[in-house]
Amino acid sequence: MTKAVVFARRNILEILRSPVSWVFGLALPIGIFIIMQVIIKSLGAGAAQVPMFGVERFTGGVVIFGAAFLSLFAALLISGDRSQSFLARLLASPMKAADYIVGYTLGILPIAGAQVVITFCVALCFGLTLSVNVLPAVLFAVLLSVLFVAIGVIFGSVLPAKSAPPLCSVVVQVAALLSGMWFDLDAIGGGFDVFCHVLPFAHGYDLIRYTLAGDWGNVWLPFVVVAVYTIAISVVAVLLFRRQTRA
Amino acid sequence: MTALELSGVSKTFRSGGRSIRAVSDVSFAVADGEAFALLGMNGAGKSTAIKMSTGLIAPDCGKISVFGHDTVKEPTAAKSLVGVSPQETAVAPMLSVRENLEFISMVYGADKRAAKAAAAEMMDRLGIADRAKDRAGKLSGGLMRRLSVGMALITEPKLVFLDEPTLGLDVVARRELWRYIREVKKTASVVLTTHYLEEAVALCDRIAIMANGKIAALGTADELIEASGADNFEDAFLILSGEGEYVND
Repeated sequence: MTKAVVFARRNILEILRSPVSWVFGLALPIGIFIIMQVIIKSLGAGAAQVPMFGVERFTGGVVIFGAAFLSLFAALLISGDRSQSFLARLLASPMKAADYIVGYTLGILPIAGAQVVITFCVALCFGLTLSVNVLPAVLFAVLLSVLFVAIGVIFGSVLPAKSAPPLCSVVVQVAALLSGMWFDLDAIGGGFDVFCHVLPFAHGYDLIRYTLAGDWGNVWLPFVVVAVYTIAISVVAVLLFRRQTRA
Repeated sequence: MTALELSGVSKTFRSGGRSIRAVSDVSFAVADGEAFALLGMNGAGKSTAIKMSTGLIAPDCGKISVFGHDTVKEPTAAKSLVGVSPQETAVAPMLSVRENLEFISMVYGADKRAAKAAAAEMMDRLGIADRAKDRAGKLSGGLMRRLSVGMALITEPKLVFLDEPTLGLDVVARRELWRYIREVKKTASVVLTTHYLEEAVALCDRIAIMANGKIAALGTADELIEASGADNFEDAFLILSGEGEYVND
């Protein structure tokens, strides 16, 4: 096994053995999804009044909400390793810079993948149409996961262990709020809508919902925005991690 | 053969427009098989010297080598010979005792079978085999520190850095760890930092005292006592650290 894989295995175990991961990574987003869908079902014909929470649109929101918690996992892991000198022990080992980046990423992405798959399975149970659109939506959801892991790496690299998790919780709330999962940004319009679309979260939500709807003409813009943000933030995350740790 | 050599090493940190010279033109060598203590008051420069020696930070100038390998130019070769037990316990809290040891062993290149065998042997040597399946984060402070030292030694390094290894331990746990460090001395060079002066005297062949980022004195405990004109090592330490006014307190 390479050093990066050994390190990734350790990171997976650290995350999976923490109850926080199960509560925030799975129970909370899936729980909210199920509650909203049960409410919508109980509305019957009245559900048409709240299209936001229909299964095809709300799935995108839950993907964003769940993925946002990955930033918390990454920040918890890295800031914890820094504050407890576990990272110092590793930095004194023959591990190389790439081993840390690959190890942290590989440690979180399988969990992200499982989260995405479970989210879509639950969505299918609540009536999401099983079509060829689901597969690209899953892949885009993984792209969003990478974006949030990179945000978590930045927070974990520059902030102390006591500050990184609460600030990532703010990221989760901001991402959910500004994504448009709870209210229709088009209906609000104006400066708020523009502001939300300067950030990647609303584009991420649009990316999933347009993909699931097969509205390919509207997919490219959110895809480009999310991809550019993901690449840019990942580069910043790697540079900051290396600068802070001198890995 | 020289295990560790620092030649004219300096390090300055810049923070908020201020420059703090943490280590200034430090030179010393640790022989193969020697146990060497680095003592000093808080802020004397010990931790910076250790961080540079273990490759965590690069010196501004000077050269550091581990068994002839330059820590800046050949970091991987130098690091592969070194084991580190940081001041904090530095364990993976959600992994078990066994998993922590196996993980470090594999990071240094052991395959799974070799890592399992090394972990089992290390747990026996440290007397923590009965806690193999316990999560590291649930261990008492003493056991966690023992595990931390074990993680520094499982790779059978030729040079071991122990940064305050007995901090917070009760007297029995400390003496147990001393016994183990004496065992380690038979196969590896040891660089120890500690605020327990009797620990340095009991375990180390030579002692360096740092003050204001420089080596203020270097020698055996007896040589330092004699050089300071003091009656005991604690007074010698105070005098040589530039804190002689506290000798009669």
